[in-house]
Amino acid sequence: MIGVFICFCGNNIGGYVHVPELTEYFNKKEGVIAFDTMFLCSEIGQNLIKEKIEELNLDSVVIASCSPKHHGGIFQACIGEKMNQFKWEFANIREQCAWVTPNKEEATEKAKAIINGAIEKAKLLTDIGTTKVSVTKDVLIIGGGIAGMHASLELSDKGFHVNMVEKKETIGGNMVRFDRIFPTDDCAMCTGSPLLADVAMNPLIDIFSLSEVTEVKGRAGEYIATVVKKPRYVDETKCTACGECTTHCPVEVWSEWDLEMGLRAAIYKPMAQAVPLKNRIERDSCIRCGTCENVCKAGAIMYDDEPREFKLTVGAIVVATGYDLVDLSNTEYHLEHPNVITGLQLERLKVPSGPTEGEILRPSDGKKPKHLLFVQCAGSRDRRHNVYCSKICCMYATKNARLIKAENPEMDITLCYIDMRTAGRGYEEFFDTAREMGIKYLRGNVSEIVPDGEDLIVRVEDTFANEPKAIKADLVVLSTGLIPSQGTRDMGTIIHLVSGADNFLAPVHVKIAPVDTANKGIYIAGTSESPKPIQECITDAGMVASRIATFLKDPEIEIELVTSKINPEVCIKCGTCADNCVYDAIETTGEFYKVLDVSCQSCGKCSVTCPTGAIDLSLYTEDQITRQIDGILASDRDSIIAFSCYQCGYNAADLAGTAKAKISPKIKVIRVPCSGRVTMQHMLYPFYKGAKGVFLAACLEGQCHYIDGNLQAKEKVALAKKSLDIMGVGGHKLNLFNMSSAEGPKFVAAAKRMVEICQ
Amino acid sequence: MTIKEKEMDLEFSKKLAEDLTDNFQKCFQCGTCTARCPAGIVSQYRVRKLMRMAQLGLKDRIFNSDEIWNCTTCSTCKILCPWEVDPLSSILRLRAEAVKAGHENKKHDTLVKSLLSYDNPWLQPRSARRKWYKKLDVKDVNKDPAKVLYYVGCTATFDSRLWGMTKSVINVLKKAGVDIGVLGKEEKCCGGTVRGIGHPDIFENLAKRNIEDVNNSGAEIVLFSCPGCLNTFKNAYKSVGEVKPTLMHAVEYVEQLIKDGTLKLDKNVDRIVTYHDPCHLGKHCKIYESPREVLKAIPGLEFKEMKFIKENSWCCGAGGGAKTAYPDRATELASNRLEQAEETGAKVITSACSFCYQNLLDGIKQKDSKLEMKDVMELVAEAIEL
Repeated sequence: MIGVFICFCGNNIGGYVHVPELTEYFNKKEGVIAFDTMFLCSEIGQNLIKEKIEELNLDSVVIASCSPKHHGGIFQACIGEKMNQFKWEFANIREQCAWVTPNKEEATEKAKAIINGAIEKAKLLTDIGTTKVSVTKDVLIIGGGIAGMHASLELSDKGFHVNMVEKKETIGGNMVRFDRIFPTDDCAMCTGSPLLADVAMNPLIDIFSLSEVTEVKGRAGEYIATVVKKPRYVDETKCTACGECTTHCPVEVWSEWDLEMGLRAAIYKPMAQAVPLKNRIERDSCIRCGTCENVCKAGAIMYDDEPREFKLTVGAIVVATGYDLVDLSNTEYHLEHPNVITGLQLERLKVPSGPTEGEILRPSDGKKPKHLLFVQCAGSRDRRHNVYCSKICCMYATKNARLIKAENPEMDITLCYIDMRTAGRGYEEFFDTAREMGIKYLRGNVSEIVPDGEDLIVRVEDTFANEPKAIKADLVVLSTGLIPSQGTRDMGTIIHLVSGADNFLAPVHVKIAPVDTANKGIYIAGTSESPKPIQECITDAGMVASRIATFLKDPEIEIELVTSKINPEVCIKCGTCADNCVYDAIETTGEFYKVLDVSCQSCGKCSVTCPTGAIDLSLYTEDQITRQIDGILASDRDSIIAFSCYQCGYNAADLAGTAKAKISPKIKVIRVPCSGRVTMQHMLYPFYKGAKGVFLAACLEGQCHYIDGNLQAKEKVALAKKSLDIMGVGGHKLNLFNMSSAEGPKFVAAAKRMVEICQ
Repeated sequence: MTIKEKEMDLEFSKKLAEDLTDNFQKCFQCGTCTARCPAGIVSQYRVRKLMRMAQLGLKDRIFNSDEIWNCTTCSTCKILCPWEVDPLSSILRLRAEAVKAGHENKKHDTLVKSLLSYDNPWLQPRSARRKWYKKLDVKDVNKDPAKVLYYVGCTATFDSRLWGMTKSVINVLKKAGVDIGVLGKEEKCCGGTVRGIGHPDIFENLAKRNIEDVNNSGAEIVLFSCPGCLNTFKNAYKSVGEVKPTLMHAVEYVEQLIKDGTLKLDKNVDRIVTYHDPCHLGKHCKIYESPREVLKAIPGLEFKEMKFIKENSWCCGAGGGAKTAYPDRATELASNRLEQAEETGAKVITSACSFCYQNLLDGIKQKDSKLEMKDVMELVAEAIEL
């Protein structure tokens, strides 16, 4: 016996659908008993469900109410008190029916079909268990910049052991290379060096400098990361960083740390506060003369040092791999001219301990510039480079302009901008003072920078004055846009994290889960997620520490086993599923193939690719989906089936409902975890049963929450279309639409298009 | 002056947004285009402001000012725009709307009338098209088909100062043994100029007839020495019909002939030469290297680049009907460009365009410059024994 519980939701459903008619209709159906109530999510409603499960010894339950995204958790917990928490199916008759169907009769008929589909699926539901797995309390932080350092200190304060892996020879990131920071004009190193010292001294933090993560395996709570430590050619246990070697080294090359604004030796430490405070030989510039070995009293030089690989087992991972500047060399910005520099290079000129000891001297002749010009949006808000705004440039250029103007009141400073974006505590006031100081803000995007000997002619329109200008400047500073660092991009591939169209790592939800990724136990912080100022990196770090503390608080974590299962009797051990699984969740070493329940992310792509049908995803089994199709079409043969991925398409459909958009009652949504779960059989089967059309609502390309599910679906759709052409049905009646979870209108447009096509 | 609500024709701007698919509505007024707009240097014309007025639907203000007629259609605005807006398309559209509403530029009247009567903008009888090749032996493809059809273009056909160029095209190609002919008195204006000054209907009529002419000529290749005509055939005709023969600029063809050894350049041309990129050849048709390759293949020739070349090249000022409407402004822009040419130390300024040729020549005269104007094809002709 299946219990159907139908909610009026006040007028939200009751106003659009004849609820009593539905109850009466389903009560006549064999093996079904139906109830309705005003608010199913209320205590009264929940009690009704629990009572009836017990009283009637129900096999499974159908909840016909709002979207499961809304109160799914409440119903699961409520049902879980009386029976297995997964033995229920929902019928979304609010967002996807009542709210999008103005005609009450049509809405009622659509609700019948949706509920009938749910009933048919519910008949096949089975118990799904949970399991507990142990967790490792250690944490891996990739990237030792401001976000990584803060997260490591927060976590160690909470008692966690932290492994910090940093690519460069020192931790600190970009911030410790700045002169001062906005909006307080604090010295960056004055705030940075205590942090560096705290991290260095902390017994719970292990720092691996010159190291990179090359592989991550395992599962949430127990990830195994492979780390490669590059040779330093200096014994870290012996070096005292006395600097004798650097003094005597005959090599002088451009310093990467100073962004080629200064020189370094082949053996050096980037800064006095480096952590670890050890020298390093950079082998490409080293001429192997042996001088350093001769002068090193500690005997720390190791010319034969080699890369070392080791593994770290951790419960959670923080990716804080930061940003780089967009490369503007060989572009219209003429960065090859010595007196065109980036904002970060200007920081190095301004730092008191930097190559010019804090003097602003132009690179071509070492003279102090008289006309300094800042070019905003260099490589940002520009479709030829980066479409997005880099967020921090208005403030960092203003900061440098203010500091330079204060020290050099006679210097003419112009800042050319499109829009000044100074939103933040104290930011507008900061900008206000800058104008008071006599810094010229010129509203116009720089059109052209033309070298004129050692000077530059900058062409820009003063858009407020409506006049094009050619301004002579003797030092031009590009407020260069931010891009994800190479490390950030590498981590995206190595850990299988989802990136956005801008290539920054994408959180699970940009607003309500800003540091979580789709991979449980893996978090992102700082500018690996998007360009942001220092205080937001610190906020991220704190939040990540808190999320990890919650995640790792118990010795074990409970995992719901909504996972794929392999039937060993049918499995031919071809390896297709394992090759296809980006989460390495399929173990192929034993006698039989096995799904590692704790690694499985429940996308179901494996079951689509399996040639024998041996692997199937629980809660979305091949048969369950087929029966749901049957149920819908038995009630309304002319339906158009909309397989909607639960990450994006389903949300978009819900949003269309929230916006009270009009959608044809012929459209019937079937929830799937990922568009990659939809088999060709699912695409073709509805047509056998008389359906008018089928479509898939998938994530945007490149933004699949399971990396490539939507791309696999695209291939399958193309194949199925051919079959439909051959069958004479017409491939045009099957389509795939990409949309983000926020794009309700796209779902509406897709539905409309399908109705037109399938008429 | 306050913008009154009734001035804003929202239907007008809505229609523009619908028709102009190239991000018309997305212009965020950064001024990148305007800072580098050649017309803005010699007039009060501001691309950015015009885009804003169009977005606001300030139709009458646009139609009642002379601003839209200043654009030389060089396409710098489109190339520089960081948001991939194409202001040039908007300007062409606004010009057409202005004409439709009876606000055509009076200075273009003669040109338009001449076109309607004689199929050329220069008030010349059709028979005068044969004047420049009177003493040359040139095939008329209407009588005797040729593999290559040389589409001369009205400006070079009727301005005797440019006949050195047209004759060079014939002489050079004949020397290379190319079977070449012309349409003679049957050639018609390509329609590029009328399209640029807001008469899409006249343009379309010419386009149809020209497409028919070249498709029926039996030629495999249509050759141009005027990039304005080439761009019109290659890009603007797409909306009208299919042109079957291959379309090439003379410098492209000659580059091929030199490279495959068909054309031998054996006479020294001891000149110091710089090259001016015509906007319609460069920015519109993206042909930057061919003329340079040809010049570099000429023995004895010393080639000097100007500071602003290729995509960054400054417009000579002649295009888009601007020279007809505002000849002084056009000459002033030409003078600016000539200054840049003089800076290189070159004695000869060369180009590959009839309009640039005319306008730079006027600039040389007005500026009393020591530079000599030559088409690339003229220099090629100097390098061969005729």
